[in-house]
Amino acid sequence: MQSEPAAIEQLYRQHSSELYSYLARRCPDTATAGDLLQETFLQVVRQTDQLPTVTMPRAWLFGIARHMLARHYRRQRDPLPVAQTWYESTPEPAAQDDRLAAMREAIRNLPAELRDTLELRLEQELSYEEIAHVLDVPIGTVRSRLHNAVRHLRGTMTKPEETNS
Amino acid sequence: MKPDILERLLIDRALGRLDPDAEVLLVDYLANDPAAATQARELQETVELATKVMRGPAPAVKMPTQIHQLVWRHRTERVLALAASFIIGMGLTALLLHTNPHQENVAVLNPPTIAKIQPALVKNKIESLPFWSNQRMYLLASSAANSKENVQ
Repeated sequence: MQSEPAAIEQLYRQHSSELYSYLARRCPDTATAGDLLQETFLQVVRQTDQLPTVTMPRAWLFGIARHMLARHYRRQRDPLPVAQTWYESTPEPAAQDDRLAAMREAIRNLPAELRDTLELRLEQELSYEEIAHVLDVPIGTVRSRLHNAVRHLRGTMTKPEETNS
Repeated sequence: MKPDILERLLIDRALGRLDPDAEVLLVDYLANDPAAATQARELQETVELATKVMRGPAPAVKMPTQIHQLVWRHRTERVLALAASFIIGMGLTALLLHTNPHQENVAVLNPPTIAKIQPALVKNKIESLPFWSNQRMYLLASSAANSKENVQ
Protein backbone atom coordinates (compact mmCIF):
# COMPACT_ATOMS: atom_id res chain seq x y z
CA MET A 1 0.00 0.00 0.00
CA GLN A 2 1.25 3.50 -0.88
CA SER A 3 1.94 6.14 1.72
CA GLU A 4 -0.31 9.18 1.57
CA PRO A 5 2.25 11.63 0.14
CA ALA A 6 3.26 9.04 -2.48
CA ALA A 7 -0.36 8.44 -3.47
CA ILE A 8 -1.02 12.17 -3.75
CA GLU A 9 2.14 12.69 -5.73
CA GLN A 10 1.07 9.96 -8.12
CA LEU A 11 -2.33 11.62 -8.55
CA TYR A 12 -0.57 14.88 -9.21
CA ARG A 13 1.75 13.34 -11.82
CA GLN A 14 -1.11 11.58 -13.60
CA HIS A 15 -3.80 14.25 -13.58
CA SER A 16 -2.41 17.70 -12.85
CA SER A 17 -1.78 18.48 -16.51
CA GLU A 18 -5.36 17.81 -17.65
CA LEU A 19 -6.79 19.49 -14.57
CA TYR A 20 -4.66 22.53 -15.26
CA SER A 21 -5.82 22.55 -18.86
CA TYR A 22 -9.47 22.30 -17.70
CA LEU A 23 -9.00 25.16 -15.24
CA ALA A 24 -6.94 27.32 -17.61
CA ARG A 25 -9.72 27.20 -20.22
CA ARG A 26 -12.13 28.57 -17.64
CA CYS A 27 -9.98 31.18 -15.94
CA PRO A 28 -9.14 34.68 -17.13
CA ASP A 29 -5.41 34.02 -16.72
CA THR A 30 -3.02 31.14 -16.17
CA ALA A 31 -1.99 32.43 -12.74
CA THR A 32 -5.55 31.95 -11.47
CA ALA A 33 -5.64 28.49 -13.04
CA GLY A 34 -2.38 27.66 -11.26
CA ASP A 35 -3.79 28.89 -7.96
CA LEU A 36 -6.94 26.83 -8.41
CA LEU A 37 -4.91 23.73 -9.28
CA GLN A 38 -2.96 24.27 -6.10
CA GLU A 39 -6.20 24.71 -4.14
CA THR A 40 -7.54 21.52 -5.71
CA PHE A 41 -4.56 19.47 -4.56
CA LEU A 42 -4.53 21.17 -1.19
CA GLN A 43 -8.11 19.95 -0.83
CA VAL A 44 -6.91 16.47 -1.81
CA VAL A 45 -4.24 16.65 0.91
CA ARG A 46 -6.95 17.70 3.40
CA GLN A 47 -9.10 14.73 2.37
CA THR A 48 -6.41 12.07 2.37
CA ASP A 49 -8.54 9.91 4.67
CA GLN A 50 -10.97 9.52 1.75
CA LEU A 51 -8.30 8.32 -0.69
CA PRO A 52 -8.74 4.58 -0.03
CA THR A 53 -12.47 4.84 -0.77
CA VAL A 54 -12.12 6.80 -4.01
CA THR A 55 -13.11 4.51 -6.87
CA MET A 56 -12.76 7.03 -9.71
CA PRO A 57 -9.81 9.25 -8.85
CA ARG A 58 -9.98 11.23 -12.08
CA ALA A 59 -13.66 12.05 -11.61
CA TRP A 60 -13.02 12.81 -7.95
CA LEU A 61 -10.28 15.29 -8.88
CA PHE A 62 -12.38 16.93 -11.56
CA GLY A 63 -15.22 17.23 -9.06
CA ILE A 64 -12.92 19.04 -6.62
CA ALA A 65 -11.47 21.25 -9.36
CA ARG A 66 -14.95 22.16 -10.55
CA HIS A 67 -15.94 23.00 -6.98
CA MET A 68 -12.85 25.21 -6.58
CA LEU A 69 -13.67 26.96 -9.83
CA ALA A 70 -17.26 27.61 -8.77
CA ARG A 71 -16.07 28.89 -5.39
CA HIS A 72 -13.59 31.20 -7.12
CA TYR A 73 -16.31 32.73 -9.30
CA ARG A 74 -18.66 33.05 -6.33
CA ARG A 75 -15.98 34.95 -4.43
CA GLN A 76 -15.33 37.15 -7.44
CA ARG A 77 -19.08 37.73 -7.73
CA ASP A 78 -18.59 37.22 -11.44
CA PRO A 79 -21.96 37.35 -13.17
CA LEU A 80 -20.73 35.08 -15.98
CA PRO A 81 -21.47 31.39 -15.62
CA VAL A 82 -18.24 29.44 -15.17
CA ALA A 83 -18.54 27.47 -18.36
CA GLN A 84 -19.13 30.54 -20.50
CA THR A 85 -15.88 32.31 -19.81
CA TRP A 86 -13.74 30.10 -21.99
CA TYR A 87 -15.92 30.53 -25.05
CA GLU A 88 -16.42 34.22 -24.44
CA SER A 89 -12.82 35.13 -23.81
CA THR A 90 -10.94 33.04 -26.37
CA PRO A 91 -10.39 35.05 -29.53
CA GLU A 92 -11.61 33.67 -32.84
CA PRO A 93 -8.60 32.38 -34.84
CA ALA A 94 -8.20 34.05 -38.24
CA ALA A 95 -9.14 32.22 -41.45
CA GLN A 96 -11.15 29.66 -39.55
CA ASP A 97 -13.61 27.21 -41.02
CA ASP A 98 -17.09 28.82 -41.07
CA ARG A 99 -18.55 25.66 -39.68
CA LEU A 100 -16.25 25.89 -36.67
CA ALA A 101 -17.42 29.44 -36.00
CA ALA A 102 -21.04 28.33 -36.29
CA MET A 103 -20.40 25.41 -33.97
CA ARG A 104 -18.69 27.71 -31.51
CA GLU A 105 -21.76 29.92 -31.50
CA ALA A 106 -24.06 26.90 -31.16
CA ILE A 107 -22.11 25.60 -28.16
CA ARG A 108 -22.15 29.05 -26.61
CA ASN A 109 -25.95 29.06 -26.88
CA LEU A 110 -26.42 25.66 -25.28
CA PRO A 111 -28.09 25.64 -21.85
CA ALA A 112 -25.34 25.68 -19.22
CA GLU A 113 -25.99 22.18 -17.86
CA LEU A 114 -25.91 20.62 -21.34
CA ARG A 115 -22.74 22.50 -22.25
CA ASP A 116 -21.07 21.60 -18.99
CA THR A 117 -21.83 17.90 -19.48
CA LEU A 118 -20.75 17.94 -23.12
CA GLU A 119 -17.46 19.64 -22.23
CA LEU A 120 -16.61 16.96 -19.71
CA ARG A 121 -17.21 14.31 -22.38
CA LEU A 122 -15.61 15.93 -25.45
CA GLU A 123 -12.97 18.15 -23.92
CA GLN A 124 -11.86 15.97 -21.01
CA GLU A 125 -12.96 12.60 -22.41
CA LEU A 126 -14.55 11.53 -19.15
CA SER A 127 -16.77 8.46 -19.28
CA TYR A 128 -20.50 8.75 -18.59
CA GLU A 129 -19.89 7.24 -15.14
CA GLU A 130 -17.14 9.73 -14.37
CA ILE A 131 -19.28 12.67 -15.52
CA ALA A 132 -22.11 11.44 -13.31
CA HIS A 133 -19.65 11.40 -10.39
CA VAL A 134 -18.30 14.89 -11.16
CA LEU A 135 -21.72 16.47 -11.57
CA ASP A 136 -23.31 14.36 -8.83
CA VAL A 137 -26.24 13.32 -11.03
CA PRO A 138 -27.49 9.88 -12.12
CA ILE A 139 -25.84 8.35 -15.17
CA GLY A 140 -29.17 8.43 -17.02
CA THR A 141 -29.23 12.20 -16.60
CA VAL A 142 -25.73 12.44 -18.07
CA ARG A 143 -26.76 10.37 -21.06
CA SER A 144 -29.92 12.35 -21.69
CA ARG A 145 -28.07 15.68 -21.33
CA LEU A 146 -25.43 14.55 -23.82
CA HIS A 147 -28.07 13.35 -26.25
CA ASN A 148 -30.00 16.60 -25.96
CA ALA A 149 -26.82 18.62 -26.46
CA VAL A 150 -25.80 16.70 -29.60
CA ARG A 151 -29.36 16.82 -30.96
CA HIS A 152 -29.46 20.57 -30.33
CA LEU A 153 -26.09 21.15 -32.01
CA ARG A 154 -27.01 19.03 -35.00
CA GLY A 155 -30.28 20.93 -35.34
CA THR A 156 -28.45 24.24 -35.23
CA MET A 157 -25.81 23.17 -37.73
CA THR A 158 -28.28 21.79 -40.24
CA LYS A 159 -30.60 24.84 -40.01
CA PRO A 160 -28.27 27.81 -39.46
CA GLU A 161 -30.71 30.35 -40.98
CA GLU A 162 -33.28 29.61 -38.23
CA THR A 163 -30.89 30.32 -35.39
CA ASN A 164 -29.63 33.52 -36.98
CA SER A 165 -33.13 34.96 -37.44
CA MET B 1 -35.68 0.00 -35.82
CA LYS B 2 -37.61 2.76 -34.06
CA PRO B 3 -36.24 6.22 -34.99
CA ASP B 4 -35.73 7.36 -31.38
CA ILE B 5 -33.82 4.18 -30.47
CA LEU B 6 -31.74 4.50 -33.62
CA GLU B 7 -30.93 8.12 -32.79
CA ARG B 8 -29.85 7.23 -29.24
CA LEU B 9 -27.56 4.51 -30.56
CA LEU B 10 -26.11 6.85 -33.20
CA ILE B 11 -25.41 9.58 -30.65
CA ASP B 12 -23.77 7.14 -28.24
CA ARG B 13 -21.67 5.88 -31.13
CA ALA B 14 -20.69 9.42 -32.15
CA LEU B 15 -19.74 10.13 -28.53
CA GLY B 16 -17.61 6.98 -28.51
CA ARG B 17 -19.64 5.23 -25.83
CA LEU B 18 -21.41 2.48 -27.75
CA ASP B 19 -20.83 -1.10 -26.75
CA PRO B 20 -18.60 -2.81 -29.43
CA ASP B 21 -21.13 -5.61 -30.03
CA ALA B 22 -23.95 -3.11 -30.51
CA GLU B 23 -21.73 -1.12 -32.86
CA VAL B 24 -21.18 -4.13 -35.13
CA LEU B 25 -24.94 -4.65 -35.38
CA LEU B 26 -25.50 -0.95 -35.98
CA VAL B 27 -22.95 -0.81 -38.80
CA ASP B 28 -24.74 -3.74 -40.47
CA TYR B 29 -28.04 -1.94 -40.11
CA LEU B 30 -26.66 1.32 -41.53
CA ALA B 31 -25.31 -0.51 -44.59
CA ASN B 32 -28.91 -1.31 -45.54
CA ASP B 33 -30.50 2.02 -44.60
CA PRO B 34 -29.08 5.04 -46.49
CA ALA B 35 -31.22 7.57 -44.57
CA ALA B 36 -29.98 6.24 -41.25
CA ALA B 37 -26.42 6.26 -42.64
CA THR B 38 -26.79 9.95 -43.53
CA GLN B 39 -28.13 10.68 -40.05
CA ALA B 40 -25.19 8.78 -38.54
CA ARG B 41 -22.70 10.78 -40.62
CA GLU B 42 -24.27 14.10 -39.64
CA LEU B 43 -24.19 13.22 -35.95
CA GLN B 44 -20.60 12.06 -36.25
CA GLU B 45 -19.60 15.32 -37.95
CA THR B 46 -21.46 17.34 -35.33
CA VAL B 47 -19.60 15.65 -32.49
CA GLU B 48 -16.24 15.95 -34.30
CA LEU B 49 -16.77 19.67 -34.89
CA ALA B 50 -17.86 20.25 -31.30
CA THR B 51 -14.80 18.35 -30.07
CA LYS B 52 -12.55 20.48 -32.28
CA VAL B 53 -14.07 23.68 -30.91
CA MET B 54 -14.01 22.56 -27.30
CA ARG B 55 -10.46 21.30 -27.24
CA GLY B 56 -9.28 24.43 -29.04
CA PRO B 57 -5.72 25.65 -28.60
CA ALA B 58 -4.29 24.05 -25.50
CA PRO B 59 -3.13 26.63 -22.97
CA ALA B 60 0.58 26.54 -22.30
CA VAL B 61 1.11 24.21 -19.39
CA LYS B 62 3.29 25.82 -16.78
CA MET B 63 3.06 23.68 -13.72
CA PRO B 64 2.82 25.65 -10.52
CA THR B 65 3.78 24.34 -7.11
CA GLN B 66 5.19 20.87 -6.70
CA ILE B 67 3.04 18.51 -4.73
CA HIS B 68 5.45 17.97 -1.83
CA GLN B 69 5.25 21.70 -1.16
CA LEU B 70 1.48 21.33 -0.84
CA VAL B 71 1.86 18.48 1.61
CA TRP B 72 4.26 20.55 3.69
CA ARG B 73 1.96 23.56 3.44
CA HIS B 74 -0.89 21.46 4.76
CA ARG B 75 1.24 20.06 7.60
CA THR B 76 2.40 23.55 8.52
CA GLU B 77 -1.23 24.69 8.56
CA ARG B 78 -2.14 21.86 10.92
CA VAL B 79 0.77 22.55 13.25
CA LEU B 80 -0.07 26.26 13.30
CA ALA B 81 -3.73 25.49 13.96
CA LEU B 82 -2.77 23.19 16.87
CA ALA B 83 -0.38 25.79 18.26
CA ALA B 84 -3.04 28.49 17.95
CA SER B 85 -5.61 26.30 19.75
CA PHE B 86 -3.10 25.59 22.52
CA ILE B 87 -2.25 29.27 22.95
CA ILE B 88 -5.91 30.29 22.96
CA GLY B 89 -6.69 27.55 25.51
CA MET B 90 -3.85 28.65 27.77
CA GLY B 91 -4.90 32.29 27.40
CA LEU B 92 -8.49 31.54 28.34
CA THR B 93 -7.42 29.48 31.36
CA ALA B 94 -5.11 32.27 32.54
CA LEU B 95 -7.88 34.81 32.02
CA LEU B 96 -10.36 32.76 34.05
CA LEU B 97 -7.89 32.29 36.89
CA HIS B 98 -7.06 35.98 36.82
CA THR B 99 -10.67 37.14 37.02
CA ASN B 100 -11.51 34.66 39.86
CA PRO B 101 -8.24 34.20 41.86
CA HIS B 102 -9.84 32.92 45.11
CA GLN B 103 -11.93 30.27 43.46
CA GLU B 104 -10.46 27.43 45.51
CA ASN B 105 -11.29 29.26 48.81
CA VAL B 106 -14.94 29.73 48.03
CA ALA B 107 -16.94 27.38 50.17
CA VAL B 108 -20.24 26.16 48.94
CA LEU B 109 -22.78 27.09 51.50
CA ASN B 110 -25.56 24.73 52.21
CA PRO B 111 -28.91 26.35 51.78
CA PRO B 112 -30.72 26.81 55.10
CA THR B 113 -33.01 23.98 55.85
CA ILE B 114 -35.96 23.97 58.07
CA ALA B 115 -36.02 21.15 60.51
CA LYS B 116 -38.69 18.63 59.85
CA ILE B 117 -40.48 17.91 63.06
CA GLN B 118 -43.38 15.65 63.79
CA PRO B 119 -46.59 17.75 63.44
CA ALA B 120 -48.13 16.49 66.69
CA LEU B 121 -45.05 17.39 68.69
CA VAL B 122 -44.89 20.79 67.06
CA LYS B 123 -48.51 21.49 67.88
CA ASN B 124 -47.95 20.67 71.56
CA LYS B 125 -44.82 22.76 71.67
CA ILE B 126 -46.53 25.73 70.03
CA GLU B 127 -49.35 25.60 72.54
CA SER B 128 -46.92 25.52 75.42
CA LEU B 129 -44.99 28.60 74.32
CA PRO B 130 -45.92 32.26 75.06
CA PHE B 131 -48.12 33.67 72.31
CA TRP B 132 -45.67 36.29 70.92
CA SER B 133 -42.42 34.43 71.62
CA ASN B 134 -39.81 34.15 68.84
CA GLN B 135 -39.58 30.41 69.24
CA ARG B 136 -43.36 30.05 68.74
CA MET B 137 -43.16 32.22 65.59
CA TYR B 138 -40.32 30.07 64.25
CA LEU B 139 -42.16 26.82 64.89
CA LEU B 140 -45.32 28.18 63.28
CA ALA B 141 -43.37 29.23 60.20
CA SER B 142 -41.50 25.93 59.89
CA SER B 143 -44.64 23.83 60.30
CA ALA B 144 -46.33 25.93 57.60
CA ALA B 145 -43.34 25.39 55.25
CA ASN B 146 -43.35 21.64 55.96
CA SER B 147 -47.03 21.31 55.23
CA LYS B 148 -46.50 23.20 51.91
CA GLU B 149 -43.74 20.76 50.89
CA ASN B 150 -45.96 17.82 51.70
CA VAL B 151 -48.73 19.24 49.51
CA GLN B 152 -46.32 19.64 46.56
